[in-house]
Formats: sequence, structure tokens, C-alpha cells
Amino acid sequence: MNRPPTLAARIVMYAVLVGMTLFALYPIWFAILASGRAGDRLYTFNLAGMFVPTQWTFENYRTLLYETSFLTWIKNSLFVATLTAIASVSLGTSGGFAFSRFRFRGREAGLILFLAIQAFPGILALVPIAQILSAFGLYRNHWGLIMAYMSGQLVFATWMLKGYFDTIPIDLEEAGMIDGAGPIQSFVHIALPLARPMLATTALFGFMAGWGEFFLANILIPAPDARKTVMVGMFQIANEVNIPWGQFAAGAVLVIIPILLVFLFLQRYLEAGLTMGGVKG
Amino acid sequence: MVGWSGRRKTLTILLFVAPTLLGLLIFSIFPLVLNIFISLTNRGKFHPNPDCTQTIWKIVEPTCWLGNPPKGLAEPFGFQTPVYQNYADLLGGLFGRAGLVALLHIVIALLPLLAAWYLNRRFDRQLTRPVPSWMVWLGGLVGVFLVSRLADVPGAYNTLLRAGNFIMVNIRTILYVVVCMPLFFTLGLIMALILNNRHIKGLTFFRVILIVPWAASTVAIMMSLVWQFFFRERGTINQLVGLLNIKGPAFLNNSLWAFVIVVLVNLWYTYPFFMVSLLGGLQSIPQELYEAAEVDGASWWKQLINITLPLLRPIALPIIVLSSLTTYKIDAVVWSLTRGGPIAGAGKPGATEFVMLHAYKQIFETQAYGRMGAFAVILFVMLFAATLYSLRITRITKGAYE
Amino acid sequence: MKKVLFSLVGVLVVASLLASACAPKATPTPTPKPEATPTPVPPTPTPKPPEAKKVTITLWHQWGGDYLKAIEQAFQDYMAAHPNVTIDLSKPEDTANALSVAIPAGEGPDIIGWANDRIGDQALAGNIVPLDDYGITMSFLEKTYEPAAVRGVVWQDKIWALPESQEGIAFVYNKAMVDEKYLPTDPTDFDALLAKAKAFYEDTGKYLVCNQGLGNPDAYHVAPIYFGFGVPEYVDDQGNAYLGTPEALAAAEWMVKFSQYAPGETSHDICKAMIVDGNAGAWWTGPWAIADLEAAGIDYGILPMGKPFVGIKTLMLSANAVDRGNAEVALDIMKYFTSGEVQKKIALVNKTIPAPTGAVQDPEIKALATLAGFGASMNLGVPMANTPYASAQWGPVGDATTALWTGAQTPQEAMAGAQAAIETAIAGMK
Repeated sequence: MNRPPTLAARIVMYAVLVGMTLFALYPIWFAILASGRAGDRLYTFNLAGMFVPTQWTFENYRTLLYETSFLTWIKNSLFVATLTAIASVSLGTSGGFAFSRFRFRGREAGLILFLAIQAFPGILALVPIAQILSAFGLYRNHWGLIMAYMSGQLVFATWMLKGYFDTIPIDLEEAGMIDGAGPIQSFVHIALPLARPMLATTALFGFMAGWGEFFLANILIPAPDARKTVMVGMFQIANEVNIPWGQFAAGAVLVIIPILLVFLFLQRYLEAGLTMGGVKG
Repeated sequence: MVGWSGRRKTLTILLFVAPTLLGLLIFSIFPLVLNIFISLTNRGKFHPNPDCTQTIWKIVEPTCWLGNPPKGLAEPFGFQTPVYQNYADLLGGLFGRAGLVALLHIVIALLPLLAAWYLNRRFDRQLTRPVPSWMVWLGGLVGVFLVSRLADVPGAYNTLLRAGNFIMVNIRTILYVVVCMPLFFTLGLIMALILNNRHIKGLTFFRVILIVPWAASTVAIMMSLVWQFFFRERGTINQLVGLLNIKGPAFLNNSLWAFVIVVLVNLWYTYPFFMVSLLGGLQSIPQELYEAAEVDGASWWKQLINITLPLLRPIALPIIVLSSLTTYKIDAVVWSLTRGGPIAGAGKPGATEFVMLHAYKQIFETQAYGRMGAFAVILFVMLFAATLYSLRITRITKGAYE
Repeated sequence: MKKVLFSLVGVLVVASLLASACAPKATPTPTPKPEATPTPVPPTPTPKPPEAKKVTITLWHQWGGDYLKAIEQAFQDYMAAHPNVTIDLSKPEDTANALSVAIPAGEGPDIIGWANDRIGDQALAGNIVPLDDYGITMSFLEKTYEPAAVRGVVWQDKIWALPESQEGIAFVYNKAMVDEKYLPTDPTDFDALLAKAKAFYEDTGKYLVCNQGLGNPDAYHVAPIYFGFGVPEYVDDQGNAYLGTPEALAAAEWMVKFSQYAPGETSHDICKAMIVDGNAGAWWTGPWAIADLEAAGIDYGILPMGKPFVGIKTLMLSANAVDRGNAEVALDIMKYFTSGEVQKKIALVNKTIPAPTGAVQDPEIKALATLAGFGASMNLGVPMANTPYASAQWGPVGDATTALWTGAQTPQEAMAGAQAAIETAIAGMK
């Protein structure tokens, strides 16, 4: 693996890279092409139109943004996702710190138990969760969604942050303790600043959880239009009697772009976060 | 930590951990408890509402807390006789005579593999191996094949499939996971190996671009609709193939194709995760090992098998286990792509109707809440056990002092 | 790096604060125009209408697309005439499950616009209330609405809804594409239809008719075939299923033969694209699709074929409306919307078949070609039952039909499977 690869090997590797790039990007490129096409019929695409933009119009974007509630949906989703990210980071960090630094009976068992309980998929608990939230008066309320998403992310965030804190040597905090810092101060002033890369990753995962979730949002906020999140709204478009595919594609592009940007921006933290915090053997 | 007194410590710990505990209690434990109770009843379309005068439902059932419980023409639901009826309906086929016999056959067929593993362990302890390891495994596989023929494993498999929808759906999902994992790992490994190679230009560009499907997986429900279009009767693939004057099949109407398509789409979503994790792992392997192997004249393949893969194990094992569990729980992608797959017949799950999707359809299309409560409880027990075991394998729960 | 990270977090926080500040607190009607502003009440001492306080009525419906515009107009007119009432229309994604969570929480709509086959299970769950308690009598129904519509809203001797329109599907063909000789002449002669489809396919290479129940699980759209072969209904009031009859088997075998001359994969969208692009000669569909055909400029004709399901679209009163005290106002709106004049206006635009007799007898409506065509089809049809047993039929019949269409099962297996599945479901219901 040290000497430069042979020409043949190099050709193969570049071919694979280019091939995989096409594989990775084509569906999104397709959605972009479809969003620029006028009309709402799915089956009149000519072959060239599936690969290069044979025509381009902003009509679909215009209709989507000005004549449907799309912008409201995006606002709602942004609100829910951001708050989920912030909440899961703050609460996950405190939990992760506790599990990493404190020695208490039942620490190991507790974390294992939490993780195992969390393994239960939310889709089977949809109706009970929706009923609980309704009983608390949170039906059709974004805060209910945020609470549900956040609690789904908390154990995962705790686990990741605990793993990360484990790699930070305790010496700094012990030094701080000698100087008289208590656990909370030690947390806020020493551990938290050191954990920034991991915070970014956890925030990213929290944002992702809130942005793309469909099933719970669908059952908790089915109406009115102005409160729906963007996934529910997109499905409403996709289930209309006359599906406006151009608008759907335009919506898909608009929904993916923010998450792509956040991802690309934070992707360096992703690798660090995964290898150090999460999946250490 | 050293130096903080007992009582203050407990309070502080609680302060740090309380929100997580609370969230877990309300959103995970309580629905589970509710599901356990509901699974013992006959709640469904004809008995939809609880009888709020009974204490048990006053405590557990959320619709009773509001003080204005729904009252319709239907009877409220009540406990079944016998109380475990729902569980018996779901699992009965497995524990009947035919089911147990079929299970026995399948276990017998797997014995040669067990023997091969045991033989390998013994040979490893000897000074010189009489037979190389791959030959032992090959022998094991051949043994499995022969015994399958003798013990009529295909027949046993069919019996199990007919034993009930729950079992069929579970087997199908496990098969799906078993098919997916090697593909994910291999593709992730190949891409990680390529990206780890310093001599390739444009590494950062490729690394960033190839992660894009992972971002798209956030909105998997929507992207899968786009993927579905490629495979329609008049979708992209058929139009491409039509250029060669071949009339492409309706992929989503064919069980095998639909299954392959779901695997492919899931591969698209998941390979970045494997790629990034394995890349991190590769970068932590010291170069000296490779240099020493070169000096000894080891070929590229040998280096891979003897250095890279073993040293990747600490990373590879956890992510494979994690991904297996996530793949088992797949729902949104399949729902968008095939809605449960080509229909196999009335009352039978479709060809790509995996466990979570089956549960979703049963709950939301037939509203059989009681039966699905039992389904949820059984699944919880399975997933709980699997997660515990996987955590043991990966030993990730060590703290800062260990 | 830290700066950029913090600024990103800051941007997100600011964005979310903005979003929460801008998020609408009220729930406006999702029409392109802003809410109809109430016309100022003239300050003369004329007797004011009984309800002087502001009321908002929420209505969950299933209307979609262009269909919706004329309907919204009707509600706008009501709001203009009753300035203190605001009507809020919403279309939830999955109404059945949304209601099952919303109504017990007290957050459901006041009026539900739905097909009559849901009356049974909604009444069982306690989501809707009988209208007898609010002054609707059988004589009022019989005076105002068509007999089939009246039958559709009565269940277990109580009145549960007010009917607004009827619908059934028929053979809608493109006159330019399909010659006389390919058109079915006898609605119950399926062998002739098969022969004509075969001839059409061989002569032109295109499909004669696209039916979204063939190739897509949809028991509603394949009903004309089953019932046309003689199956009385899928499930009757006592819970007997009729999929195991020889007539059902004959229908299934016919479908297998027909699959050679029809598209393999269908849906509303696909069929529409086929007929608009000229890949199919006809579309087996209902009045809701006419607007699209007219928009595409197709000269269409309508013929009855088979015995379709006749569904009644209705408006139901929810339990939440009663709890909130909105029952009187909601009922008034329901009566207004299902009255002859309003339904006539809507029918003229949407080409639907109204339920009130006054509208049906109106000469302008009678002159509509669609009324004649769909009306003829519905006269042969089978009314959709509103018993809850009927909800057991949709899944199994759709699945069985799709299985035999794609060849996954033989007709016998498919029908036997469907019969068994329906019987199991009904046994679980009893």
C-alpha cells in the first residue's frame, strides 16, 4: 500500500470512484431535472431529458413557493429540527458527562438498559405516543413533536457523548478539582469546550431526526395545512389526485439542499465523531 | 469522582441524567407498558374504546385521562379469554408440532457449520495445521448442503413460512439483513480502501461527494419515491432498455426484483456510513505493518486479509452490528418504494413486507390494536435481547477509568 | 473553526426564533385568497341572526385538486352570508387514524366529509353522532334526497350523515381514438369486451382501457367486473363474504385473460397519462377525472360497463362539535352544502352527480352529458354498504386481484385466499 499503484490499478480505482459518484448523485440530479420541467405528467420524459436538462423553467418552484404552503412547512420543520438538535445536544451532553465521569452503582447496567430500551422502534409506539401527547394538550402542537423526537435522540446522544468524554483524559478535570471546582463547574468550563467536535455531530444527528421524520408528524399534526412539517406536506402533494410531479421534485430539491449543506459543512466532525465517540471497540 | 460526598453526588448525578430518564420513561417505557396491557385485550375496529370505569384503564389508557372518554355504539374492549390469545395467534404456528419439527430440521442442517468452527479452533491450537482453515469451512458448507438435502430443509422452510404471518415476515426480514450486510460492508470497504490511498488525486472532493446519499437518507421517505420512479414500467430503466428494443419488466410487480431493488436503495443510503467509519479505522492502522509486509513480499491480497481486516475488526464489528439492527427495523424506505411489495395474495404479506412495515400496515389499515400490541411486545423482547448481546460484543460501555 | 461553528449554531437559533415568531398562531383557510373578511354588520336595529358570536367550524374532507375550487366557493358564499361564521377546510393525510387520535383528545373537526362506507366504523368508535337528535327526520331526507342516497346514510335505524353527491365509475373513452366497433354495447357482456380489447390491441398496438384497479390494489375500481359477473356484493350486512362463489371465480379468470391486453402497472396518475398521451383508448373512472380530460382537450364519451359501486359522499357531524356547542351551526352548514341549489352549482362545474333530488331534476343538470353517462352506469350499480363489516373487504379483494393480475396466484388461489381473509377479519369483528 505504499508504493504508487500501477497504471492499471489506478485506472480501475478512478473508474470506481467516478462510477460511484454517478451512483451517488444521479437520483438527486434526476430530481433537479424533473423540477425544471414544465407540466405534471410523469411519463412523457424523453430519454435525453433524464440525463441532461433539455428544458428548464422555474414554474414549478414558483408555484410551490407562492401558491402552496410550502414555505410555511419549511419554517415549521426548521423550527422543530433546530430545537430538537439544541435540546438533544444540551441534555445528551449532561447525561454523557455523568455516565463518563461519575462512578455510581448501576452505571454500566443503566446505560446498557437505556440503550436496549431505546432499541424499540418508534413506529410501533406511534398511537400511544400520540395519545399521550394529546392527553397533555400537545396535539397539533410542534412542542409535542419536539419532545418526542428529542427523547428518541437522547439516549443515542448520551451514548455518543459518553464515548467521547471517555477519550478526554480526566487529568484536566482533576486539576480543576484541586482548584476547587465542583462537578457542574467542571462540566461547563472544562469538559464542554473540549467536546465541541462531538457536539457538532450530535447536533447534526438531532437535526436530521427532526427534519425527515414522517410517521409521528403525520399522526400528530394532520391538519391544518399551516402547521404541517415539510415531510407531511410533501406526502400530501404526492398523494393528490393529480400529482404535480414537477412541484414534488422541486420540493424534494428544496428539502434536500439545507440538509446537504449542513452535512457537508459538518462532515469533518462526522468522521471524528464516529471513530472516536461512537463505535470505539 | 474522588472527593465528592455521597449525597451531593447522587443529586448531581440525578440532575445530569434526569431529562434523559424522564424522556425515556414517557416515550419508551410507558408506551411499552401500554402495549403490554393492550396486547392482552381484543382491542380492534369493533372494540375500539376503553372501559374507563375500570381502574386499570383509568391509570394506563391515555384517552381515559381526559375525563371525556369516547363512547360509541361498540362495546368497549376487554381482556381476552385466554388472556394470551393474541400471542398464541402470532406465535402459535411456531410452537405447534409441525413448526417445532421444521425448526429441528433447520438446526440439524446447521450442525456441520458448528463442527467446522469447532474443528478450526482445535486446529488453531495445534502446531501445524493439517488442513488449511478455508478448507475446513468449505467442508462445513458442503456438509450443510448435504444435510439440507437429507433433512428436507426447503420443505421445513416452507412449513415455517406457512406457520403464520409473523414468522414469515420475521424470516424474510432476517434474510434481508443477511443479504444486505455483506454488500454494505464490501462496498464500504472498497471505497474506504480507495479513499485511503494517498496516490489518488481529488480525495477530499470524492470523500465529500460520496457522502451525499447519507444526507439524503434523512429524507429517505421522499428520496425513495424518486428511486421508485426509476423502476416503474415506464420509468428510467425501462426506457433505457427500450432503446435496445427490449421491453423491460414491471420490476415492482416481481417479488425477486422488488427485493433486489429494496436492497439496492438501502445500499445507496447506507454505504457512506460504512465508508466513513472504515476509512477512520484504516487511517488508524500504522503504516509500518504494511511496510514490513512488503519487505516480506506479501501480495496486496495477503496484506488485506492478514493485516487490514483483523485490525479493522474493532471498528467493523460494532458498525456491522449497529447496522444490522437498523436494517432490521427498516420501514420508511420500503414503504415509499413498494408499500410492502408485490402482493402475494389476500391476507398474506407482500414480498417486501418487512417486520416494521407489516406492523404499520396492520395497525393503520386494519386497526387490530390488540394483536399488534402482542406483536410489539414480542418484537421488543427480541430487539432488547439482540441489542444487549450486540453491546456485549462491542464492549462500548466502559467508562473513563477503565 | 470554532467561530464558524458558533455562528452556524447562532444562525440556526435565530432562524428558529424567527420561524416561531412568524408561525401563524391562528389557522387560516388554505385558499389562495386571504380569509373572507366579514362584511360589516349595518348598525340598523333590524333583528340580528340568532348566533351573533363568532364561531369557527373545522371541516376535514377528501376533496382534491380542481374539484375543490367550486366547493370552496360554496363555503365562501356561506361565510359571506353569515359573517360571524368562519369555515376552515383541511384535508388530512390519513383521516381514519387522524380522527382516532384527534377526537378523543377533543381536537377533531366539527364536520367530516367522507364516503358513506365509513359511517359504520366511525359510529362504532363514537366519532360521529346521529343526526336524529338534531332535528333531521326520515321524512326530511326522503323529501330532499335521492332514494339511493337516503339508504346510504341510514344505519341501524339512525341517520348519520347528509349526502352531497353520488359517484360510480364508467367507461370513459376518447372519441377520437376509439372507433364505434371497439366500444362495449352491453354492460354485462365481458367476453365481448375482451374480444374488443384484443382487437384494439392487435389493430393499434395500444390498450383499450386502463383501470386503476387492475395492477394496483383497489377493490373499488374492479368492482364493476366482479359485480358484472354476478357477485351480489363483496360482503353483506350479516357478514357473509361472496368471494368464494363461482361468479367471482369467473370474474377472476376473465381478468387473467384480460391482463394480456391491458397495462401491467396502473394508478390514477398512470391511467390519466395514458389516455392523455394517446396510449390508451379509454379510462375506467368516475366524475372526478372529467375535469382533467376536459383540461387536456379530449372529446370524451361515457358508457356504462359492468356494475360499479355506487358511493355516496356525505357530511358527518363529529362528537367534538357537540362538545364544543357548535352542533347547530355545523348542522346548518351541512344542510346548506347538501341543498339542491348549492349542489347544482357545484355539479355544473365539477360534473358530479348530486344527491339532492332538486338538483338531479334540474333541467340544466339533466342536460349534462356526464350525468346521463354516469347516471346510466350507477343505475346498474351496487350501493356501497355502510356496515363496518364492509371495511373488511377492501384489503383482501384488492390484494387478491393484484396477485392474480401479476400472476403471483392462480384465480382459484386468489379467490380462496380473499374469501378466507375476509372471513377471518369478520370473525375478529364479531
